[in-house]
Amino acid sequence: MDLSEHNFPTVLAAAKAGAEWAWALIFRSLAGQVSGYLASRGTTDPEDTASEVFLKIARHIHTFEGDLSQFRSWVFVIAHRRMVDDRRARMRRPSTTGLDERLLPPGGDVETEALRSISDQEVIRIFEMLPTVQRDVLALRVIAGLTLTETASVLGKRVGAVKAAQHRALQRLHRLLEKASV
Amino acid sequence: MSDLAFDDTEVEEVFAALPREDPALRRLKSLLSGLSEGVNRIPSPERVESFASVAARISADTAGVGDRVANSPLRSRRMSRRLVLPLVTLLLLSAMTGVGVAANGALPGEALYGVDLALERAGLGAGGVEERLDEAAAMANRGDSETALLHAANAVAEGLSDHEETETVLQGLQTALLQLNDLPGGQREVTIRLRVAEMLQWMLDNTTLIGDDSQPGAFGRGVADIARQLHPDPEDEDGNDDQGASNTQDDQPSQSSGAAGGGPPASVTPGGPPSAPPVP
Repeated sequence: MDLSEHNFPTVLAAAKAGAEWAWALIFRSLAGQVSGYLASRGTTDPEDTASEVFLKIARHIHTFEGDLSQFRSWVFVIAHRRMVDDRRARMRRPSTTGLDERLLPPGGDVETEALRSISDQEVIRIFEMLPTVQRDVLALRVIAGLTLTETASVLGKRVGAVKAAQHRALQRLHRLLEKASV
Repeated sequence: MSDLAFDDTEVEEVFAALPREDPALRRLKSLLSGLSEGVNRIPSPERVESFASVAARISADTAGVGDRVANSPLRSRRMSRRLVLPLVTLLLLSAMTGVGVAANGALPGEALYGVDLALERAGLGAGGVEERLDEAAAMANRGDSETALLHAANAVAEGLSDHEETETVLQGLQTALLQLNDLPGGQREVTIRLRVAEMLQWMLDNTTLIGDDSQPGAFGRGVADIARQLHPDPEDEDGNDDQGASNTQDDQPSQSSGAAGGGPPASVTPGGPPSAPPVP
C-alpha cells in the first residue's frame, strides 16, 4: 500500500484528526525512503533520525496544506535539514566512516561479482567523490524517488538548476567509473 | 527530460552518444539502481504500529487542545530545556524552603505577599491543580513535554498544601526533566515523551490522593516512581518494551526522599495501585 494509491486529501484530514490508520500509511509509505536518503548521505543513525523526522511531522501536520507532491517535498525538506545538521555535527567530530556498506547494490552471484572490473567499495568511493549538491540531487532523485520539482523544492533551488546538477552528476559519475574500470 | 521519478530514460538521454553496451554506462545504471534498492528499508509492522499510535495522539491533541490551553500562561512560550529545568529547580527549592507554599494566602503587608501576587498574575492562583494538570497532560500529548512538566510543577507548587509531598512531587518532575535533557533521539525519544504524557495523565487521574490522610505521601511517591522509569531499556527500542507495564511491586523499592514511609506506590489501595503506565 502506498500513499499514491489513496485519496491524499482524505489521508491528510484523517492524519490531522489523529487517525492511526492514516499515520501508519504515511509512515509505511515514506519512512523507508527517508531512512534511505539519510543513510546515503552518511547520517549517523538513519532509522532513528527518520523517526525524529516523522515525530516532527506529526507535531506540525496542522500547519501543512497541499497535495501529495507538496507533502513529499515537505517531508524531505525536514529530512534534508536534519541531515545537514547531522553532517555539520560529524564535521566537528572527525570520522573515518563513509557510506555504510548497506549502500552496496544487492550482491549477485560469485561469477557476476568476479566479472566486475571495479569493486562495490570503489563504486561507493566514486559516488562520494561527487560534489555535495550533486550527491544531494542524485540521492533525492534516485533513492528518495522525488521528481525534479520536488527535489528543487527540498533543496531550495530552481528546477533548471536541479536538472543541470543532475546532468553534471551523471556525466561526472560516468567519467569516474570509466577511469576506475581502466 | 521527464519530471517523473528518476528512471533509465534520464541516464540514456545524458549519454545518448554512447553505445548502449558501454560498460561504464551499464555500471552507472547498476550503481544508481543499487543505491535505490540497497538503502531503502520498509519499516517493520511493529515499528509502523508504534509510530502510528504516538503520531495519532500527538496530532489529535494538537487539533483539540487549542481551547483548553488558551488561557495557560505558558501557552505562548516555547520553553527551551535550558530554561525549564532551572525553573522547576527554583520551584523545588522554594518548596524545600517553604517560600512558595508560604506565599499562598499571604496578606498585604506581609513579606511574601508580592510572591503570591506574582503567582496569581501568572494565572496560577485560580483554576486549581486538576485543571492545570489537565492542561499539562494535553501539552505533553502534543509532544511539548518540557513545557508540560513545568506547567505541572507550577500547579503542584501552587496547589498542594503538604510541604513534604510538594517537595516529593517536584523532585519527581525534576527527574523527568533531567531525562528529557539527555534524550537519545529517535524511537527512544518517542517512548520517553509518551511516558511523560502518561505520567501526567496518572497525576490527573489520581488527584484524589492529594491530601488523603489515609495514604499520606502516596501521590508524591507515585510521581517519583513513575519518573524514575521513564527511560526505556535500550534493548527494547522497537516499542516492545514490557518494562513499563510491570507492576511496581516488582520494581526496586521506592527511594523518594522526604516522603513519609517510603513504600512503593503499590501500597496504595483505593482505585488500585498506581502502576507505571503501559508502553505502546
